[in-house]
Formats: sequence, C-alpha cells, structure tokens
Amino acid sequence: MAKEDKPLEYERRVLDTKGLAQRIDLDYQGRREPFRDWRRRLGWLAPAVAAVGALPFVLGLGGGERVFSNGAVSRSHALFEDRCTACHTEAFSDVADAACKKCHDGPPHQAKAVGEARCGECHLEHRGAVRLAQVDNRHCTRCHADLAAHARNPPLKAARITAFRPGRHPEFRAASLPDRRPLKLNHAAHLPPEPKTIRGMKLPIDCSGCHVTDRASPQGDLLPVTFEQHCRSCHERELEFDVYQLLGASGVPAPHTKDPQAIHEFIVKTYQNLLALNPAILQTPLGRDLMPAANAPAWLAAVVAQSETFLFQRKCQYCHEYEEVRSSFPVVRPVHAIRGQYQQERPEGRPWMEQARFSHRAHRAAQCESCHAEARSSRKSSDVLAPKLAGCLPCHGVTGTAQEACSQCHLYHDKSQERDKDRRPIEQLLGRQPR
Amino acid sequence: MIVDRSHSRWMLGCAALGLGSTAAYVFYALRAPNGPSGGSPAGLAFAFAGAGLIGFECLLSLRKKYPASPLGRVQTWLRAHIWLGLLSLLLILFHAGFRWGQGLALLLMWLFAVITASGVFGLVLQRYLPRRITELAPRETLYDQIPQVIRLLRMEADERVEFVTADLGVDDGEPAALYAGGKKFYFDAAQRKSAAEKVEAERQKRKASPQIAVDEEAGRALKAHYLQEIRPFLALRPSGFARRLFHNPGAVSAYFQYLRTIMPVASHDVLRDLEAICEERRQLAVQARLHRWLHGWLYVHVPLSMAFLVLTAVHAVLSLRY
Repeated sequence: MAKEDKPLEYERRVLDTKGLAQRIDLDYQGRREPFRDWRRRLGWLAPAVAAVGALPFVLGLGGGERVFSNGAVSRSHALFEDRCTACHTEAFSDVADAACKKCHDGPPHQAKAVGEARCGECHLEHRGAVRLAQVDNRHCTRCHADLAAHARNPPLKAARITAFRPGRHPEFRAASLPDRRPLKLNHAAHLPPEPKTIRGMKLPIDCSGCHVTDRASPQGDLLPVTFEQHCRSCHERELEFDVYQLLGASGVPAPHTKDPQAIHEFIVKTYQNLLALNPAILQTPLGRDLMPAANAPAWLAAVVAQSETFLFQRKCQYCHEYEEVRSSFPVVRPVHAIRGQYQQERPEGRPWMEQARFSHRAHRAAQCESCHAEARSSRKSSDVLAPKLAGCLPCHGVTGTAQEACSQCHLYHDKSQERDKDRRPIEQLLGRQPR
Repeated sequence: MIVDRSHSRWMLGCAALGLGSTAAYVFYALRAPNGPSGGSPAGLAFAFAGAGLIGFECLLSLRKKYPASPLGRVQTWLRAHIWLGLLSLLLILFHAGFRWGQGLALLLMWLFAVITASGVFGLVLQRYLPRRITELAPRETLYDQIPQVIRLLRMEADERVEFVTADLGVDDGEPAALYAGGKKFYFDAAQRKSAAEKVEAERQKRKASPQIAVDEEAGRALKAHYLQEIRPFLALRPSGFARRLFHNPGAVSAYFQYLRTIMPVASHDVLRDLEAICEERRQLAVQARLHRWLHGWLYVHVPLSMAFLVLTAVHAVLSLRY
C-alpha cells in the first residue's frame, strides 16, 4: 500500500505542559472581556447617576433640600420642615439666635446668670417629634452644679444642684414654709381614722369634697376652698346667732360676709320681723333673766346685743381671727380666696412653688395622700402639707427617662417676661407669595 | 485576597485605632448634653476621619490601574483597604451616633452598609472559592482564556470524531490552527513540508474518508450523538439540555460508558478522548461559574462605592451649609 493510501494513525490525546501552554492566546490582555467591561462601565455609571440624581435636591427644586435634613423637626416647627432657610439663615454656621427670636421672645433666664447659651445649644432640632423645651439635665447642671462660678451672688442653698435626689437638690421651699392664712383648719378632724357621722356628715370626707380641680386650668390647679361651696353644708351652724332660741325653726343663719354692719342689720331686721309677727314675745324671759323687757326697743336692744356677742365672740372665731374690734364690731383678718401662698399685703397671693411648675392634672391618677402624706395627722392650719422631695422620688427618681428631667418642673426662660413678637401674615410664615 | 498572618499588623493597628476611637466616642457621648450628634465638633471629627478613610478606600481602583506605581504594593493597598474600610464604618457610625437619620443620610448609611457587607462577602468568597475551584476544576485555565480553550476543545473534538465519521460538515469559520489539537506538534521533521501544510493535508485526508474503520451504522450513530449532544455542550454557551446531560463527572462518565457499549472497539480510543474533552469543558463551566461568584460581588461593591463617594461629598457640603 502506498504511503498516501495508508490511513492516518490515531494518536491518543496527551495534554502535557507544552500543549497546555500553547493553547493560551497570548494577546488576551488586549481583548475586551464583557464581565470586566461591565464592571468598569457600572463604576462610572453609578456615580454619574448619583450626581445627576442629587442635582435637583442640591438646587433645592421643590423643597428638595429637605433630603439633606438629618431628622424630622419638632412638631412645633413642622411648618418649616421643607424650608431649611427659615432657620438656617447663614450658610456654613450654626443657626443664629436671631432666627429663633424672629418668632420667640426667649426672655433671659436669670439676671444673675453669667453668659447666656446659644438657643441651639440647648434646643437641639432634627430629633423628631420631641418637646424642644425639654432639655437634658446637663444643660442645667452645667451652671447649677457650681453656681458660684456661673452667677453673681448665687443663693447659697441652691449653690450645687446636680440631680433630682436628696442632697443633690434642695428640699422644696414650700414644704418648710408655714401657711399664714388667718383661718383655723384642722385636717385631722376632717379625716378621722375611723368612720363616723357628725351632724349628718359622714367622716372622713373625701379630699375632692373640698379640693376641687379647676377644669379650666390646663395644669389642673385646684379651686380656692370657699365657705359657700365647701364648708357651709357642715358648718352653717357656726353662723347661727339666735342665742335665746327665739326664732325656732324659722331662724336663718347670719350671712357669711366680711362686713359686720351688714350682719348687725340682718340680726336687727330678723328680730324686728319676729316682734312684728309675735308681739307677745316681749313677755318671754330671755335666758336666766326672768323679768320681761320694759318695751319693744329695750327687748330688741338686749336680744341683738346678746346675739352679736354670741356670734362675734364665739361663732366667728371658730374659724376666723380678728385684727381688732372697732365700734364694738370685730374686724376679721381678710382671707383671700386664692390658690397659693397667703400674704396679707398681696391679695392675689403667691404660688407655693415659685421656681417650678406643678401640674395636678398630670398627677390625677395618683391618690392625694400618696403625695400629701401628712394630711391625716395635720391639726394646725399653718401646716402646708406640700409634698417633700422624697415624695416625688418613687416616680421622678432614678428612672433614666424624661421623668427626672429638670425641665419637667423648671422652665429656663422667665415666661412672665415673654412678650408677643411681631405678627406676620400666614403667607410670610409659610414663605409663600401673598395671594 | 486571603486574610492570613500577613494581615496581622494591619488588623492590630486598625483594632487599636478602633478601640481608641471607641473610647473617645464613649467619653464624648456620655458628656454631650444632647447625646452624640453628627454636627457636634466631635461628630464632625469622626466624619472627617471616616470620610478620609473612605476616600483612601476608593483610591484602590486607581492604584490597580497603574500596577507599576511606586506607591506601595497592590497587596499592601488591599490589606489597608480591608482593615481601614472596617475602621471607617466604625467612625461613620460614631459620626452618626448610631442613628440612621433620614433622607440622604439614611441613603448613605444603607449604601455604606451594603458596600461593607458586599466587601466582607467578597473577602469570605476569596478565602474559600479559589480552593474550591482547584478541587472542582483541576483543568482550570485563565478565566480570560476560557472561550479560547473551549473553541480549541471543540475543534479538537471535531478532528477526533472525523477519524471515524470523515467530514462532519461543521466549520467554525477558520482553518485548523497549528495549535488545534493534540497532533499539531508531532509532525515528522524529516519531511520538507511546513507544519501547516502537513496539518492541512492530514485534515483534508481525514475529512475525505474515515481513518478508523467501523461499520457505516456505527459511524452514523457516533455522528448523530456527537452533533446532537456532545458538540452543543462544547459551544461557548451550551444549551440547557447539554448542560444537564453533562452536569457532573458521573453523568459524563455514564454517557460515554453507554456510547462505548454501542460502538465498536475500534472507536473506543476516540470516545475516551471525547470523554476527556467533555470533562474538561464541564470543569471550565464550573470554573467560570465560580469565577463569577468570586468576582461578581464587585459589581455591587465598586459602583456603589463610587456613587457613595459622590453622595458623601454632597452630604458633607450641604450638611455644613445648613
């Protein structure tokens, strides 16, 4: 067989190193590889998309700058949520106080304070729906922990306040003040430990029987206790003047008034009416005096004099104190119908807690005696019965929450000095063109 | 990059920096009356430090682009990239006071989280997948060469089948290259023909008539099996059917065992070689798949990092503006 006609010899597959190496295309590095190419393309595309996408927001189109906010603003500033420049008036600097004071008066804290902080230092925005007035305790203790260094002539009692704890916060001043109200009141008599009934009134009475919440007060302050509303039902007998029991069932008590002349006229008129209705009463002996009166004026004078003596010297003083006796009539020391601390020279009174706020409404779930623990044992009207600091600690002690914040009770700014700022049209507040 | 002992200096250095930063953060967070805030002096300090590290992280792409750069070895840059990247995450969390914010800040925090997670995922893959590729694909080649090797495997398979069937009637559109198949370098040096001429002559002869004598029926059967099942698997992108047919070494072996039972003994050498080619093709498919896993995370990591860099710059400027 010719060599050309012989079939090709089949050689088995052998892969040696040389064979493997010669399979390699040496130009491969110059070739495009889709897997790598796409990665490179995406590496350019993604930042380009990001840059183009961010552009409208950077330019602030349609309130777009809102996306750069680090958090929602507080509820009271929600109106300016998408208008950053309403507060951020100056670029690349903190919010200026002037921007806040466009709307807020921000009266100073204390005339004695050395240096006032910037508004934004304490009232930090972009924290969501928080109360901006509720600031961290450290803002307060920054100065109050060492008041001598931060104020001129600080009160020594409160020179170092570091927390709401005994020893680190002074005791409430109200708890140590006497109640100088010229009125005799015995809480213990109204709150006997065992139930009993006196003149048809069941004791102990409920606190809210006398201390009624003022529904119109946002803080749930208590209405002043008045004789007409809270005492008369039990203590009307203290107004009775009919010392000889001449009036019988038709007898009405004297009016509860500060004017003794009016009481005198009421008594005279009452007996005159009695005399007119029953002239024979002249013959009735008056007490141990068995001799009837000589005539009607003499009878009237004797009865009125004895009745007034009885009323003014025994009955009125059951509760009241007299300043003096003028023209045979006593002058009762005035009792002002006030909520707070009694001061004779200030008919409007003063709040018990002048440096702090207290809301009875916020505490309405608690039983009165939980805080006013000494009410049942108090026998003197000078007892204030205001809770002491320790009484607050079960709820406001170490809670780790806002419950122990200074701002729960204390306001930094003196709100009594706050004045309304310039009022502006709504459109201006919203940053829109007027319609 | 595999995390090994060579990373210990970077790891310890970054851990020390992280601990120092944590101590500084705790001190600042406990003393700040309003709590930690990105806009406070300490928060801004963390922001600048974190942003500086992020900027450095992004320079890695540039460093890789210039391998001959004198600015340290790429390996060193990679180690720094890994550990400083983790440190930058800590600093950015300190800057944000562990809050995710809203708007752009929220987007940035999410981007940073995804970038970091993808980076850590990539690091884990790079630790385990190379070893796995070596186990599963002993015949692995350079990833970029896979299409070329597949093409050569297909040409080699065509040649070997033509020993039994003569011309298959398939053409890849180029003449048989010198390196096409195992025979190409085993020419007789005494002959005056060039290697190319010899290869071409052999090719013509092979296409003209079967070189291994088998009965006609067996030749047709091999041709049918090859063209319908084996050759589609040797394509650059095999069909789903072909991939399923040769999905593991057992399947490849079983398929060719079957062919050997129906084909005459004279063709068994060809079948054994075809089996080796198919197994190699299968291993290349495994290698390509694992390679895409090994580097696929970069599709997330790199583009997002670049977008993050742009948005960080926007965030920095506008946060300072307001």
